[in-house]
Order: sequence, then structure tokens, then C-alpha cells
Amino acid sequence: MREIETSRFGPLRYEDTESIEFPKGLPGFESEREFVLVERPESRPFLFMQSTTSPALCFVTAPVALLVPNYALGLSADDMLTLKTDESAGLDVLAIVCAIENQPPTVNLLGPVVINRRARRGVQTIRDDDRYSARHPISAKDSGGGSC
Amino acid sequence: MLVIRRRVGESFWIGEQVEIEILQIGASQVKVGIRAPKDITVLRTEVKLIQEANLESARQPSAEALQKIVDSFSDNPKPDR
Repeated sequence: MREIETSRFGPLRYEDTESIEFPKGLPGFESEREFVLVERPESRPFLFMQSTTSPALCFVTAPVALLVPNYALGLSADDMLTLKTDESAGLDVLAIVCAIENQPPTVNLLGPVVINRRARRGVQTIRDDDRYSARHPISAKDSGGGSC
Repeated sequence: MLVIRRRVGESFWIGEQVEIEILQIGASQVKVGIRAPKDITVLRTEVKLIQEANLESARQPSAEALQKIVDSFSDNPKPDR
């Protein structure tokens, strides 16, 4: 069991086996190599991705499947290697939420975070097509249908 | 936008230090080689977009702002607390 100080949650305790390693960090946060996923009942279905090394760094994420039904995940061979898996089934696919004051919230569908909980590995994948936006508007009505 | 035509093996310069060479042309992709000093950052546009989005997303929403998003997202509005 570990305990870290965080800006959002205060002291946060987690099991050693819960931390997820991001060998490459995230674009813009290349030195952030470890996160824990934090679930809070009042924030469901959103998930928090808290850095274990930077108390103030905590991304809000949402499962992509809830935002865009039939999201086409494009994992590169390199991503698969990082995730230590050879299939895309059983992976968590999360979109990072961007919520700036006085602006409609958006989610990043261009670079979803993919996590293999079994191997405790994660990667922010980078699509090489323009099928999805890095700033996809988020709303309840959106999950009902329609293409993007 | 400046447009120039190049064949495979030909190159051009941006400033005095950056050389761009066309290495291969495929049906839907072009392979480009870049010779530049180490301190020049070369990013694919997708990576730049994701980097910018990450940096903005790292500014955490307040608990109230977050709750608003959560509430607007859930199909069934929660009963008053």
C-alpha cells in the first residue's frame, strides 16, 4: 500500500499493483511515467488519472465507448508492444476530458489513453488519420447516435 | 502557403539549418527525411494537437465544474442531494 499527496483527493492510498506504467509518458508530459486510476461514485462514469509523482497532475477521463459507440481503435504494433498485449480486447480505452472555464467541455478522441490493467501498462495512442478530433464536444445527447 | 514541387531524392531547406528530403512516394503516403539541429522540435501534427490538448486538460476543473459535466453527461438526472 502506498500513500501520496494529491491536489484533488488530498492523501490518496493505493495498492502497489494498481499503478499503471506509461513508459513514454504522455505528449507534453513525457516525464510522467506512472498514474493510478481513481474512481469516485459521484463522478461516474468518469475516471481520474492521477500522477503518482506530481500531486497536481490529475486528468479527468471518460470511457470512449460511452462517448462514441463503435469507436475504431487504431493501435500500432509499437503500442501493442508497450501494452504487452497482442489483442485489443480487454483494454481500457479512455478519452481525456478538457474542461476550461466558460468553454464547453471536450474530449480527446484523437489520442485516447489505452490501458492494459493486467500488465499495468498504458500508452496514449496517436491516430494517424483524422477520423476523430482532439476536441470532440461532450454531451449526453451525443452518445445517442449520429456520426462525427 | 508556399508550394514547391520535388521528386524523390530531392530536398529543400528551411532557413540555414533544416533540410527536408523526399525519400519515398507511395500511393497515399510520402516518406520525408528531416535533417535539423537537435534543439529544433519536429512533431507530427497529431502529436502537437494531442500535446496541446493534454496541456490544457491538465488544468483541472473545479469540483463544481466537474460535477456539472458529470450531471450533464448522465442520462438520468440525479435526485436532489
